[in-house]
Amino acid sequence: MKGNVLSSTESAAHAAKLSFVEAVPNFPAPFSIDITKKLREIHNCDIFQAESVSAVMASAVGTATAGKRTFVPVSSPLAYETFSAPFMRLPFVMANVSRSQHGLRSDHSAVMALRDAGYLMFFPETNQEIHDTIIQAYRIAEDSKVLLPVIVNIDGPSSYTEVVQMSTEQSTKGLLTRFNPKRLDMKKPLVNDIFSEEYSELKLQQQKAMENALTIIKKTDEKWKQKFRRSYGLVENFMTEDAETVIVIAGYHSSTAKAAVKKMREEGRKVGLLRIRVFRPWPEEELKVLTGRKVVVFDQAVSLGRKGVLSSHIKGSSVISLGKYPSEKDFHDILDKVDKAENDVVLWL
Amino acid sequence: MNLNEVKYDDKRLPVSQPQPSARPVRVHKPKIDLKKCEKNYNCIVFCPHNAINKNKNGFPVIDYNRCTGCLICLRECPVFAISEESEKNEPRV
Repeated sequence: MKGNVLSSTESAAHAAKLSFVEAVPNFPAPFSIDITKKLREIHNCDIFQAESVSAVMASAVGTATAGKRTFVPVSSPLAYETFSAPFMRLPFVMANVSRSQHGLRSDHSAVMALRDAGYLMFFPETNQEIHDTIIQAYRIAEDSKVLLPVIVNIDGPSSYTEVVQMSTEQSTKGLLTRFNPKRLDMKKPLVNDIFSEEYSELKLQQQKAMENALTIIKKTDEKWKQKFRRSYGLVENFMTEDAETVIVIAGYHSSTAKAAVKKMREEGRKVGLLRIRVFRPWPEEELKVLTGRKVVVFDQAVSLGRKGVLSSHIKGSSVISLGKYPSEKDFHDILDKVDKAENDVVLWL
Repeated sequence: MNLNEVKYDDKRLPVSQPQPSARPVRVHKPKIDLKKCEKNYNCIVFCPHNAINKNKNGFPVIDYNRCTGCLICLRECPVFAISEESEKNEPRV
């Protein structure tokens, strides 16, 4: 396979370049700084420093309102402005190098805190997929039926390298039409009104946009398949056809889980894997595969007082792993424990 | 409005016209006594909302559409030409 050897942050930077981003607010947080560093080398655009995550999000709101294509590399973007940006219906793409809420461990607990904020959320597995998803994300977000910001989650710390087949500027030019939902006009001043009187109706419009996004994501994926012969879908089924037990997982560690599943198949156990690529909007239809099977949900974020975040969406056993790199053996042990138990269990790794 | 019958509309965004007046947020209203005024223009310099301008005769005039009632002009005036009145409107929360 021909391609370039890129780390996940580098492939995100190349994707941003190929989607012709114009404004990049940047806060030098660990992990996400790697994206900006690379982008500064390869692409000529407005990269400006902000003094906090809050300021990054505020400037993203500003540049997107002004009609610039905005790319936001962040890590743990929890601020007030992060929650108000989707309500303003501003289409920008946020590459979130995922980390824990406290410290610099790798899990989904920070990004999952944004699940109700109104972002479309993608959990790509490989560097190739990160690259493709970011370019797709601009097409999805800027569609007039959606107009919502997107989070593309990169599992960090992200120094692992893979071979990535980069798309070319010519081929992405056809996919991404000119972005210009310009609202800022000095002659006709308007306010991005988050204190609007029609709050509930506008929230409902957001929900409808989310529902529309499901079809737009599928359409974009089809178009991508025609052009590059790669497609991902909303979820990825891996050996689920005749499986009795299915591991449900999102993100980078699904690669490890897939290897474990393959080994268990060789041992004669009927195990499958379902990887959730799109977390918001929730792919309800695609998850009907799980009915009648034993489900183990592998979670990297916990909703304290309930259980794992993913597993509170799906009925089944739950495994919570925070800030750890699970090995193949871990997945073996998990399935052994779940098979022994009669009811659904919650395990901590 | 029945929310269950609302359909998606891409023009329906949370944008609105800016409020023409700062009056709803104002609790105190400054007033300039032009008889006392000595044209020091401290009020014009210190006004954070750029709400005070000079009129033809060089006297400061307050633009009440911009004035938020912070009363910095009152504090800065060296000859105490500015007085405050309480605003009749209930302040917006």
